[in-house]
Amino acid sequence: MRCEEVQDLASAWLDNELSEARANAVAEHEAHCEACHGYVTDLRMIMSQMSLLGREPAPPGLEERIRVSLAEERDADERGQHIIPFTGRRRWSGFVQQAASLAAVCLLSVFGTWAVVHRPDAVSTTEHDVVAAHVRSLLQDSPIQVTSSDSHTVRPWFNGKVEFAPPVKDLAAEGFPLVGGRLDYVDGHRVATLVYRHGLHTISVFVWPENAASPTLSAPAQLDGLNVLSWTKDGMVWWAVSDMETGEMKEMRSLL
Amino acid sequence: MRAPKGFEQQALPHLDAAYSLAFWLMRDRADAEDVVQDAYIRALRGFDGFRGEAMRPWLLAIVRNVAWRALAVRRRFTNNVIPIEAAYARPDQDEPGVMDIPSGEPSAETRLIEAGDRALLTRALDALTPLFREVLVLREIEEMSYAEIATVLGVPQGTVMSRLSRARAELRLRFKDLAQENGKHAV
Repeated sequence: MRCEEVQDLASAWLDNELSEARANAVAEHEAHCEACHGYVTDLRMIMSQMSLLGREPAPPGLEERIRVSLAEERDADERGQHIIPFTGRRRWSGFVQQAASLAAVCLLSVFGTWAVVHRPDAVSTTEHDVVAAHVRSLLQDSPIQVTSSDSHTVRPWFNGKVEFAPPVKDLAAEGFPLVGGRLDYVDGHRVATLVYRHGLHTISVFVWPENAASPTLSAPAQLDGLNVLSWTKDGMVWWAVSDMETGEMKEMRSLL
Repeated sequence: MRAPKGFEQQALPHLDAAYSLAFWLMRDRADAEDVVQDAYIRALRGFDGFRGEAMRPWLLAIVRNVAWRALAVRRRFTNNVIPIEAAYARPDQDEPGVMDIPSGEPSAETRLIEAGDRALLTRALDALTPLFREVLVLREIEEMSYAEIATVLGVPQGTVMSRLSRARAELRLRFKDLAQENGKHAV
């Protein structure tokens, strides 16, 4: 037997899963071959180390949670509904129940859509979106996708990426240098985001064209410790998010 | 479903085995819990078809299938994410340390035995594909026979034998690499 073959079989040999003839052949070779003996020693050591690892015990409370979900599953089964899709056998008696649950789902989706369309508080959704986009941008390596303090570079970068030409101004002279731009997705639209700096603060300014349902805040707001300001100007909706003070935010707004 | 109360009695004693396998596959506690919970519900649904064969392999087969499905979903979401090893790679570490074994050093075998270390073994296991990890867990931790493992994995026993052999060989290499690296840092 060649070493390669012996090392292939060593694992099964240690588990006593080889035929007697093969086991003997492996044993014979291993006894006289230093390399294979070393390999077998390694395997033995790894196997015993691993069995010492032992089971990862289930966290406390899991058993109880499973008991509960099993009970729920039984209840659901009696009513013909399932928490997760049933992939097993189908019964004829279940057909009507399935049709009923399908109808229920349709109805639910109708109401769901209605609720989304007639969301009473579109402003808070937008506010949430812009704050989330701002925070997310700070979590990444860079809050910008195009870097430039030159408004003539940033503005064309948005061409073809959004369906409008965002007004891009550098406010370096006023203490708010433009660092670049990126794209974000706010309230179901792609929007242009301009990124400014003021001292150590980063300001995200989201811009998109005004439409019938352009939500803006009536007053400066705070969300997750960030200041949010929104306004409309020149047919555009503007939302600014930053950790700088409201006063500075307002100053910036007057410059844009 | 004939609400078989016996299901809990028979299946819940294997909760630790189920969780352990799920944990070693998912490598995440919350994900493992989800997998186990899902698996128990699926097992209950299939309990009618259970003919009194061994409960543990039957149950673990379900756990394993649910876990693999979850892994596939996870892979779809993490394809373009930098692997954690890369993110933590130390720039001061002279590259590439893993394969060049300086001949003057004590033999790797000696090191391997010296470095009988739980954390090291866990890291070596983490570096394996889940395909190898599961077969090792079933054999070394669950101490299942090849026949039982074959049931869990849904493959012939011959496949179990060869996969286990490859998994152990691979684990040995990873373990050595890590032990070597560790030795280097210790000096």
